[in-house]
Amino acid sequence: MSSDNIENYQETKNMVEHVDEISEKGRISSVLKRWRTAIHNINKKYSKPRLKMTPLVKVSLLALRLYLILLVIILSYKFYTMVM
Amino acid sequence: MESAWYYYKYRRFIKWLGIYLAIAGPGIIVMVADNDAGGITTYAATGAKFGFNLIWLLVLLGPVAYVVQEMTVRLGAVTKRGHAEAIFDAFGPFWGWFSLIDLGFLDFLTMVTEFIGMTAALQIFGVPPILTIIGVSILMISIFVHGRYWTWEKIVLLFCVLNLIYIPAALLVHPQISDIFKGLIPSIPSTGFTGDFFMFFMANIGTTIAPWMIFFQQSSVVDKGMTEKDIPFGKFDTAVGAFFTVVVAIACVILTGMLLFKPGGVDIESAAEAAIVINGSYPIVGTALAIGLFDAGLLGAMCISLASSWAMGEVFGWAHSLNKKVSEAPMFYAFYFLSLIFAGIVVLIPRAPLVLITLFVQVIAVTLLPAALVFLLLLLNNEEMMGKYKNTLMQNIWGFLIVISIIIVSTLYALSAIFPEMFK
Repeated sequence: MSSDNIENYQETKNMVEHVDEISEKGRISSVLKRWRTAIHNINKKYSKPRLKMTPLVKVSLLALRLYLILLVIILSYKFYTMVM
Repeated sequence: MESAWYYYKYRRFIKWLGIYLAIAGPGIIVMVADNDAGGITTYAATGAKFGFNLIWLLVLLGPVAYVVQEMTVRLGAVTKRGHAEAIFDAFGPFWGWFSLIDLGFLDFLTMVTEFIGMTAALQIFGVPPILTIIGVSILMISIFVHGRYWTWEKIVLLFCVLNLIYIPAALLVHPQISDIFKGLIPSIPSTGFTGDFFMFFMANIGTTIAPWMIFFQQSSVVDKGMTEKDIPFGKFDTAVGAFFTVVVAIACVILTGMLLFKPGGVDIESAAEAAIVINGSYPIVGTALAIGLFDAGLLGAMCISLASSWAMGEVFGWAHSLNKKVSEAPMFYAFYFLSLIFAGIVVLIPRAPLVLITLFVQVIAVTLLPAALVFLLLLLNNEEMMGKYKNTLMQNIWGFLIVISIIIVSTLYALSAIFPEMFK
């Protein structure tokens, strides 16, 4: 094989690899885009909660939030004391 | 005239039974699967530690499980929506995503614990873990891909029957009926109200209601196509399931209570350990305990993975019915297969932190369980959504008391897992 042919071969090989890389990236980005769109659509579909926000519902949801925040604080404390 | 009346009653009963047998399934499956590998370990350890002293608690837990699960039957039959979709719809994306992500993560970790139980059970018979994982995965996939909910349900019901193996096994050890009756009377063991007793008390309550059960039964009711008129049958189905759960739990406690318990209590780490110890002196009973443990893990894994797949399908709008073929619901089946395979792989990873994972399950469960229970109560009180099937005052009183108690006890149990010295 002449040096020109070797160069052409190398160039073609590089080009194919580059195209593969782009198409792989393209595939990943299209999958991510599809997921993002799906999540966006779900958020839009359920953006208005159907349940009427009565005082009971509001208090229950607030209590749940506080409960979860407390749990996160306890878990963070445990993690901190474990690491330290 | 009288014989005609009896004949009429008989025909009515046969008709009722026929309808019930067609509708039976979701309630029995969810309740029997509640006695999963973790549940069986808890009961086996309870019997070895306290003998028959905590049987009364298990009897009380049957109605508790019934009250919670009965609500999912009504909610599913009336709204025709699974619990995940119902949360998104009623409470918006924040609580929806929180529940879905938490459920997915928790179910995956719980599946790992089911696989741990199954591999430990079959190791008693000399089956290497890798063979168990491969065999179980093939079995679960082959049961799942029939394209008919009915077929899946009837096969799973057969595995539920196998779960009753603890009952003949308990009879084989000849327990004294008078001792069992003594155990039915609420009491504290002679050792007093110790930290250990409180831990076991909490663990038994903690195994009664798991978040996946709420999501599973509601989705199952929807996939089966149950409607408002089927609600009484669905309730009866749940009650039958609750009865068998309690009976199996008591049988398991009787087994280890008779064969392992000594005054002062005996500590065992797992149901597999109990099976190995019992196998030495009572091979048939030890074998039954191991088979039961394997079956419990299998039932748990089948239901838990399905609960997640249904939830994901509902929210993402994928076709998500067992009545669809793999080609018609590819994402639903792909999610199921992948979660199954990854859970199996985690168990096979050398030096994987399996104890930590088991601990994690308790902690994460306590982040989702209160939310799922509170949402259930709020949804069941919405007249616009539930119409005449909304909770009555009595249902609300019982539901509220049970939900609050479960939240407190499961939180304390999770805290005891995070801080082991807390109740010592």
